[in-house]
Amino acid sequence: MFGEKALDLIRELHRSRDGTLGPYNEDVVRQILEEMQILYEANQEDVAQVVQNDSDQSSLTAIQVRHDSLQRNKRCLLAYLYNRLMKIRDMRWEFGSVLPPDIRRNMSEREVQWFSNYNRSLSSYMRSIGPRGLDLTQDLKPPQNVFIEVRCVEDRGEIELDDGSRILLKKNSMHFLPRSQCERLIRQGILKQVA
Amino acid sequence: MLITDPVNDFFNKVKHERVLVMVALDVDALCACKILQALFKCDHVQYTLVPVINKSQLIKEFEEHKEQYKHIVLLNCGGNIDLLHILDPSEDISFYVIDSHRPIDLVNFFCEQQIYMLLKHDEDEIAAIPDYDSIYRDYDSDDEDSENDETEQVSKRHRFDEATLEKRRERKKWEEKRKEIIFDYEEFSFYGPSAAMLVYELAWKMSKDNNDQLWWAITGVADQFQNKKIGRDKYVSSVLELQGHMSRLNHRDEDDDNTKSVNSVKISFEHDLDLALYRHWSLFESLCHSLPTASAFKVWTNMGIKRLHQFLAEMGLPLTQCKQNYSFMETKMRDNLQSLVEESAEKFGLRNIKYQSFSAQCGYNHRLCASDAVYSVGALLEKLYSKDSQAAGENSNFVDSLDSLSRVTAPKMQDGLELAKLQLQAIKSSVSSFIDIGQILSYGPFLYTAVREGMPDYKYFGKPIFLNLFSHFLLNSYVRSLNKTKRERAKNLPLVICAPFNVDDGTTIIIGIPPLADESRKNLFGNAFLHAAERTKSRTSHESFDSSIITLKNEDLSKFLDALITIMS
Amino acid sequence: MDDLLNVSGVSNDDSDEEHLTAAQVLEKLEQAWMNERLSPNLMECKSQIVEIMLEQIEEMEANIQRAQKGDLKISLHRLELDRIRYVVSSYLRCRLEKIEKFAPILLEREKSKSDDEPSKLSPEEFAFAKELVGNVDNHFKSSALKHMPRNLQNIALHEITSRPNLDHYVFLRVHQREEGVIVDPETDDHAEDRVDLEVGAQHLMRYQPIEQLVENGAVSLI
Repeated sequence: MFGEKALDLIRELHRSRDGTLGPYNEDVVRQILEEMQILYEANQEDVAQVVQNDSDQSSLTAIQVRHDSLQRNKRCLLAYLYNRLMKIRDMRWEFGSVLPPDIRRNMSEREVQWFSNYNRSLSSYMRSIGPRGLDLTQDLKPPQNVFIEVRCVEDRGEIELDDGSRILLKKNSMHFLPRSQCERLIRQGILKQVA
Repeated sequence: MLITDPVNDFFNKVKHERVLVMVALDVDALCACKILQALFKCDHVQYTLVPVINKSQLIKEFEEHKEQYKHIVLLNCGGNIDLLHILDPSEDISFYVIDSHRPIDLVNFFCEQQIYMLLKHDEDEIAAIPDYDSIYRDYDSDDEDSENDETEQVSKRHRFDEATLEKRRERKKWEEKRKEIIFDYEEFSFYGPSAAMLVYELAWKMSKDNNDQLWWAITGVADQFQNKKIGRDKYVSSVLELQGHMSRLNHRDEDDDNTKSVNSVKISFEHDLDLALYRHWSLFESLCHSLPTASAFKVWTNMGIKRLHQFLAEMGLPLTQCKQNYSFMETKMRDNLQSLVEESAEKFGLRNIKYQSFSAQCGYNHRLCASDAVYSVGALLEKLYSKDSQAAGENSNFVDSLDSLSRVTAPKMQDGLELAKLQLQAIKSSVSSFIDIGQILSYGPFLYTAVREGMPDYKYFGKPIFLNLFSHFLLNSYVRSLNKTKRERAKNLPLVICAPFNVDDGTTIIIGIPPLADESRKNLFGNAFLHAAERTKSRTSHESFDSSIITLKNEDLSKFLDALITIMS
Repeated sequence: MDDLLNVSGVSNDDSDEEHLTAAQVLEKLEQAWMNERLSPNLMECKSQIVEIMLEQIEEMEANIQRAQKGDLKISLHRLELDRIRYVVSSYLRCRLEKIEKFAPILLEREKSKSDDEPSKLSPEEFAFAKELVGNVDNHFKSSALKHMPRNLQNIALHEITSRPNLDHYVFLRVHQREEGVIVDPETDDHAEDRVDLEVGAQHLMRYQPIEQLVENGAVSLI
């Protein structure tokens, strides 16, 4: 049936609603485009025939059906692409400007291109805020206290804090540090906050 | 250098700096750590916590962190070793040592800068430390000259002057006296006041103490008593102080019922039964596994079990009740338990069945008494892991134990209690088999026994806290199991136990504990082990902060023991 | 808040209309933040307030650095700064999300509006929106559209993206008296259903009729 493949794509989107980005389904996209091409060509023929032969209106419904299928395919395809872009956009906010390799693998070339363009736009916007720019990906939660106690979950070696001092992050060591320094590391999973 | 004013000389100095806290792996140190954490959090002092299990780990962690921290606090470690010599720190690093191990290394005590010891202002303690002048002495220029001249062969008349000879003689006498003083001072190792107690007093002086911190201080002191690190009198005097603090912080309950919320920690003082974990176990199990009752009733014999049943019958407690979980016992039996036990105690030879203790209650949960907390945290610290996850597991023990102390009702505390039960069961079964087989031998100046690798639960024995608990249990039970004449002699004998430590490396761990009769708990094995090792050139490592626990290679064991016998005779 | 800023010695901004104390600026910022978060449509950009606030933050930071170490006030000030920075970030993030969602429509509106109507997007936001739309458009074209049959290759993004839901019901509090607000202008030809908004009253209404009132501060969303 026409439009089945397009529905598959939508189903795929629906299944991955939990936030993971599945691999870019190059095959199905290609198949849909091919189907559209076939439908279009068939329609061309029929329209030509109808134009030529004014009395033969029998293929009008067929033309209509094909036309609707084409529209549907187009809509589903665009929805698929758009929703993936939105997921990728969310990844930028979650992981920062460098994506983990296993997510990159699931993106098509053009999506990677889109991601870097988005990154660029976002960075230039953030830089333009206020006198020195403001990183909007920080401070995602209202701060409760200035210092928090954290426990180091994996070995990370030495890191440098904003005031110049260095801390050695060894597995299972516990630290009491300013919240702003820890936020990024907590999001990366290196530190864990102790209640 | 001794700190006289901990608030200004210690806390205010580190308040604006970043601090590295090195914590030894015993319950007292962990409690001190929790109190210190609370104080630091209050004042926004940035800190890093690092667990250290022995001297080499102390050195390693110091090497890794020395670039980043200028102020280092040592809890229950480093007091009895020469820190400057071992760590060789740069000039700007300061060490603040809160250690209950004694004797304090003299260099640490007399060093003017860099090493700061926080001690209780106990007259006796400080008096016990020798005078500065008897240990250190400036070289006189005359002495120096006389030294140099002696090497020359040129005979000058003034060398045989009375004055220089006199000086030389005096110097020799002084040096001999010095050796003697130091020897006396370092002969016995023992424990001073609990580190947790010291940190709690610091908090109190800053008026930042509260019930939670008091509970940690109580747990620290209870740890010392339970592991027989201090004798009863020292324990009682610490308890007296803690009582003072407790009544100060908890007295409001009496005036008005509604001042304290239900979910806050309430601490109460009581004369509690010295039964291990009895509130979390069944009464019968607890009686079988607690040191005083197990040794009095000799529960490893059938007669012993019968006597235990008799004891319970005397008290009027049906057996079914006693074998049930304590919380499901009938309330009127639970309420009368203490008085019943007291009455029947004398008849069955149970001495010191009651002791002074504290318990904490939070909300409507069951009460947790101090000794329960000590068992639980100790068990968590030494939790065993299967071979593959060994390294990963050991590191998280420290964090888990800290977690379990964080609240009285912490879920990890329950896990710890279960582990403690397993440990106590292992102890009891090992003790039973040892005494049955008669594996405890008298080597002359001390009693000796060895844990073989094939024994069940042998893995537990490689851990110091467990080994310590086991040794005391064993000594007590063994002495009780002897007849009257032998018992008198055995009471004055110390005990040495060796157990497999690391099967792959082929090492054994040895612990020595002082005799039962010695209330002061002064342990001479630290030095004895050192001498024995030197004499026989055994490959030993005296790594532990507690000098009476060492490890050595299996092959050197027998010659080491022979040397030990000779030294101690 | 005044105390905080008096420490830093700054109490006036350099807004060209009125002299506002820093506390008032913060209040305005918080109000704008609440409105932005609760409204379904993008509100006017209060970039002035944002600029002023960020400058204040910088000054306060500098003051903290200069202050004596160990002063109790430092921690309090730092927390206050963190919280203000959070509000600013959250405000801008919220706007950015709405811009990303409705970008094509907003751009159309900007193109078609008259010059004296205030723009809802700041110049930077406008640039960002344009880039975003261009980016998405390119992506569509290169991934799918150019492979499609010729008569389907065009799309008008601003027609197919979802529109802000102006029928969303919002809670509001009234600050200035308004008479005769028409609740339902579309269905109500005779303009019979009117509501008088008293000061201090709280209402639950459709967003669309009161949109203008929110913009000029007569009511605020709660």
